Amino acid sequence: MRTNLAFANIRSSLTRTLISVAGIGIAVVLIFMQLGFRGAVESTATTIYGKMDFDVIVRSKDYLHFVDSRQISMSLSAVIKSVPGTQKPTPFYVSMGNWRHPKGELIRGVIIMGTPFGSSPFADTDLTRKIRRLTAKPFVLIDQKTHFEFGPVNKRKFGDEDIGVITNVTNSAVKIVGHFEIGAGLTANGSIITSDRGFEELLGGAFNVQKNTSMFLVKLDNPDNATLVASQINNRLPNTHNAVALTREEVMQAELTRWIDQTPLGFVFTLGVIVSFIVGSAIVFMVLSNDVTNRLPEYATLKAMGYTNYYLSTIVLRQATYLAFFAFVPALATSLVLYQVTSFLANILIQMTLVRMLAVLLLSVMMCWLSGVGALKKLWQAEPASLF
Amino acid sequence: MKTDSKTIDELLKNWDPDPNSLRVRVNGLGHYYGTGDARKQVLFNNTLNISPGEIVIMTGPSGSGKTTLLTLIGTLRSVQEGSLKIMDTELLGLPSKDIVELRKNIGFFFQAHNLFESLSAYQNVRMACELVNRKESEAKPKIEQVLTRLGLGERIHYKPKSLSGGQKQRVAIARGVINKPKLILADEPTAALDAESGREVVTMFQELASQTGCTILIVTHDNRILDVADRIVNMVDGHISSNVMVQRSATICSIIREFPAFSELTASNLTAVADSMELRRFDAGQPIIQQGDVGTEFFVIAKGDVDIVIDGNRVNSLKSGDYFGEVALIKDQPRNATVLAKEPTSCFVLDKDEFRSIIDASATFEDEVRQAIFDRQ
Repeated sequence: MRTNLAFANIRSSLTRTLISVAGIGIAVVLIFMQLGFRGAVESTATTIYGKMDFDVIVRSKDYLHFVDSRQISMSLSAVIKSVPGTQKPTPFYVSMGNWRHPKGELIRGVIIMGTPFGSSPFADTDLTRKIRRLTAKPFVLIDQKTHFEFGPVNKRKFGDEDIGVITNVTNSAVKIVGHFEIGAGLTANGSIITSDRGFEELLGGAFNVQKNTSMFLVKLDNPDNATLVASQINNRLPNTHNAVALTREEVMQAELTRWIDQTPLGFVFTLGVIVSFIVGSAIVFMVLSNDVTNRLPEYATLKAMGYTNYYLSTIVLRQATYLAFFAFVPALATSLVLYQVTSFLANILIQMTLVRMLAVLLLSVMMCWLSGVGALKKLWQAEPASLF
Repeated sequence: MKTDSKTIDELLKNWDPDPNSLRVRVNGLGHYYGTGDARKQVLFNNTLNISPGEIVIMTGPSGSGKTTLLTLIGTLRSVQEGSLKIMDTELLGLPSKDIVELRKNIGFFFQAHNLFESLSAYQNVRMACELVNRKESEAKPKIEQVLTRLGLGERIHYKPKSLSGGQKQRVAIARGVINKPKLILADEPTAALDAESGREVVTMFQELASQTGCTILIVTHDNRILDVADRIVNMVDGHISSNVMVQRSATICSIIREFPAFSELTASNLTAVADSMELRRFDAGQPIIQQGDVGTEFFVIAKGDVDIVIDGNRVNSLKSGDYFGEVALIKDQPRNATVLAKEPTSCFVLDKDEFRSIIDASATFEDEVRQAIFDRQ
């Protein structure tokens, strides 16, 4: 058995080890949080699309993101139908409105989704059944994940007791006739579903649901043909209409690209990870090079005894690895707690994934190794002749 | 001091060690610190041969270069000039990989003990064992034995910070000797120790030297341990100013001070004379001096019997401890007799100038010599 000098060093200077583990741990927690936020943005960006039932979408070329979809002509329905393998395209309307607290003056932005009576834009059959309740213009279904600021009766969450509640959305009266559960996303803290005529009403004339739609949801006879069918639709779409057909994957990817790459969000989180990495590296470097300096005579003695520079390097790098692992475990635990807290407070779902755990572990080991390698230079300069 | 024949036998046997068996061979070794204008020579053309089992104590004022010489011999500095061989390996231009390998045969003791603070006494010693990949099961009893021997039996698993300065030094010594190195280099190994521990350490050195043939080189100012030295090397200003084999000197002194002129000399002068004497060996029947020759040397018989022959007649015989050849030197005459070795004979030889300078310093000598010569006849 070989003496584990690296572990002995870590254990003997316990205070220093704890401080460095805390420092590295904070850096790791920061990395976890940044990646968690980024992951939350990624998953919420596609939450609603994820619940929707379609193989191909036709929408405006000016589409920005889900609630800023722009408009295309209803007449394109015929073009889409003419492509073999497509089923009847369903118009789907989406925009933003202002929700007024039922018992107060508080105004909150809300996503308004409109669907023709009897159609089922969502995969969930229970929701499809509820959509049939939207028989009158002011009837709306409200998302249970809507923020409590929107004014549920029990002050926490919209539910059965809110059915029948009347309030205003953008100056038009609405009546809650049911609820569903999707989660709104990043643009708003709540969402409602109404009929196409209700949608037109809530938009106050800015949208003619007979002439235009936000998008067409298209189901295919064979979903595996989505790419082919989408390109066939694109070939037939008249240039004058500024519309485009996208497969489900393309829609999801476009939404991610929109939120992560075209807004500062992705950059901010990536930068956050980089900064945390640098901070962590700086801490490890300081700790290790300090440790090496303190033990320089000991290392020089090892050299005089006949130990090689290679062996000495493994001691320092092993120390770095121990620090990385010791810091990782509590940092992971802390991050899991913070994920829960943030999910609750920010009302967005932050989830730990195995890939992220492994990636951050790798990152923290890399962080420690890089710094360890930086501290090695000092070690190699240890001069045994200076011991006499 | 009474010199028995066994001591003399040993002395004569080891007089000229086989150059192939030398542990350390320093030849024309120079060393410089700094570069360019700041380059300063700290060692000048030094020569030193050390045999296996020899204990050498190096002394000298600080800055005399003794530590530089020690670190050069210990492979901790690169040889720049001259030749330095340890264990038959030339260090000049040796690749660093081989140097690291060579270090496994060297035990170092530093003025600062340099133990690993995070390891126990036992683990500190084990770090040395691991270099030679000794199995834990083999190493454990040895480590415990050495530590116990050094009075650390109760503290085997203590960390250095729980040990006193002397105890730490003893752990360092255990670490240095555990692999039975061929060469031990120590810098003030006893400075931090009380008399008893210091004695224990040097006794251990002596045992290592005699049992394993380990060569030990100690830089020290501790005169309590001078008695273990086989040789005392004194360095001044980058030169080896004296290189005295203590046992040899003492033995020679005890022989030559029988000679009346030398008996008056102080110990240091006598040692100086002893050191300037040369050993010469003669075969049975070989003439040592010839009647009628010009006398240039003075002889003291270390071992063997000789016949004095004048004009072809044997007039007397001399034995170990006796001297001859002085008459021609004092009177400046040709040799008045021939001296023949009766058996293989060894003599210490002093040249005329040295001899005369001692005689001139001795006022009463002339009379005594005359008396001595008279007595002999």
